[in-house]
Amino acid sequence: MQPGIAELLAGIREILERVIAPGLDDPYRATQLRGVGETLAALESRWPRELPRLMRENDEFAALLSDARPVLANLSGAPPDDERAAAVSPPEDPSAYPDLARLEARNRELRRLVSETIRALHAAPPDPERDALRTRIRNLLAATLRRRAGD
Amino acid sequence: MSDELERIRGKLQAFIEDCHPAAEGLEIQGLRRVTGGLSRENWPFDARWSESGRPVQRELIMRRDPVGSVLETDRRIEFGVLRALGGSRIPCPRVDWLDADGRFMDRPSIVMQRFGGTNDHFVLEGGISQLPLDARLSLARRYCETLAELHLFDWRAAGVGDLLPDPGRDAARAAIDEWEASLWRQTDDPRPELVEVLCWLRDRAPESQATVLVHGDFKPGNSLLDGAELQVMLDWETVHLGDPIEDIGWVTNPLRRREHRIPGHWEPEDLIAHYRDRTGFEVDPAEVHFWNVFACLKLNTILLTGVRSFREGRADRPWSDDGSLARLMFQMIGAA
Repeated sequence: MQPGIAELLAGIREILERVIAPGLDDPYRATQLRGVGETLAALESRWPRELPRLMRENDEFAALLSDARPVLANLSGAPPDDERAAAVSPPEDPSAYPDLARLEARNRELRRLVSETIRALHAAPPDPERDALRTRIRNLLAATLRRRAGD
Repeated sequence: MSDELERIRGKLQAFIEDCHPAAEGLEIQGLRRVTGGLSRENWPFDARWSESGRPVQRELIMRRDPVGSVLETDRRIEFGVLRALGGSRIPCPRVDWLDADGRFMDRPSIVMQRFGGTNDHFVLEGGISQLPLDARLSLARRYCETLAELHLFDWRAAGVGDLLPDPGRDAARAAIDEWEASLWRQTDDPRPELVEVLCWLRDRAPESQATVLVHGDFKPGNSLLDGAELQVMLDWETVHLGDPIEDIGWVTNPLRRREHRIPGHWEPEDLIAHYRDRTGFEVDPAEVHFWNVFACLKLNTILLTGVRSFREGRADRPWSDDGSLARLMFQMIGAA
């Protein structure tokens, strides 16, 4: 369907810059409009990557929390086993078409559990298995940050 | 806009008349809102009045908390500290009147002395001023000496202890506690990357060698210049008592470094050496690195305050966090 999302975003930005901006005499409003244009430009490059990024990140967080189960079993402050199990289990209908809102909600829950896991590991005394898990979490988070930046 | 301007002018008139009853026939002229500064609205104006039969004319600026700010700070502290610094050698604006609870101006506001001059974020590397190298070197030293003077300021004698808590040797832990609490007030969105950085900081929090007045956002972009001369340091919203190395970590952190260096002539090590000479404080590289990371965490929290304002419909710009600050912090703590 035309215009596509990319075309629409680029077109809106172009109209703001070509039609609206030159008519703004107020420097404050002109500055704010520039900020809106920059955000639209960032959105143009971000949106095509968002769905696969979330799907991959969710799969990786779920695998990490699943593998971490033995380490976290008796660790004080770690997320409860049933919460982890519910979050890492695959979506109800894996063949269903990806739904952005559902992916974002799952991502948020998985990130919450990873945050709690980091806090629990940090509070615990050093231990080779726990240290290895902490390193794996750091590496995974570093990779997700690189992907968000589009690397 | 003119209706809004007239409304603000009326409020300002009532505010000043209440604070300064000796002013007769007060006239406010040239009031306008200007850009610049993300944390406060800036409204310059000229005021004329008669006092004991003598005409008074002042160039002033009203700085008001916006509906959606990127900072959660208290105008009473900023006002009180600037009052305490008045008469010192530290170039800061003279503050006149405070509307602490927004009774007059709808939101907390300060009226203070207005300065002309140039605001040039990148003056040291050239910027819009394009000063010659020797002038830029002199200015770089002047910024450093101003920071040193602030850190040597006798805040106890000036009564700042009545305004601000003294964190003592635990300034770093107090700073982490304060900014972590602020971070989670801005967002309930889980941020495991920031949790990891906070753990790293907690494991390495140094003990302070002294408690000093910390500016909190010291940079050329928060100053005004008259040619090659530093006129005034602005934006004291985040001033607090803490570890002197916190400001050194702020000015040398990777995101701010460009504003404070003259490539090949004034590098972070030159700044630190000059600062050490002026203050006598020890500057441990590990502590500077700790405060560099902390500076980025603080910037990320400030960014998320903007994101919250945007999400709540209170911001005039679409703030968003693309993760670049977290990524930088991961590189700095050796996790990326």
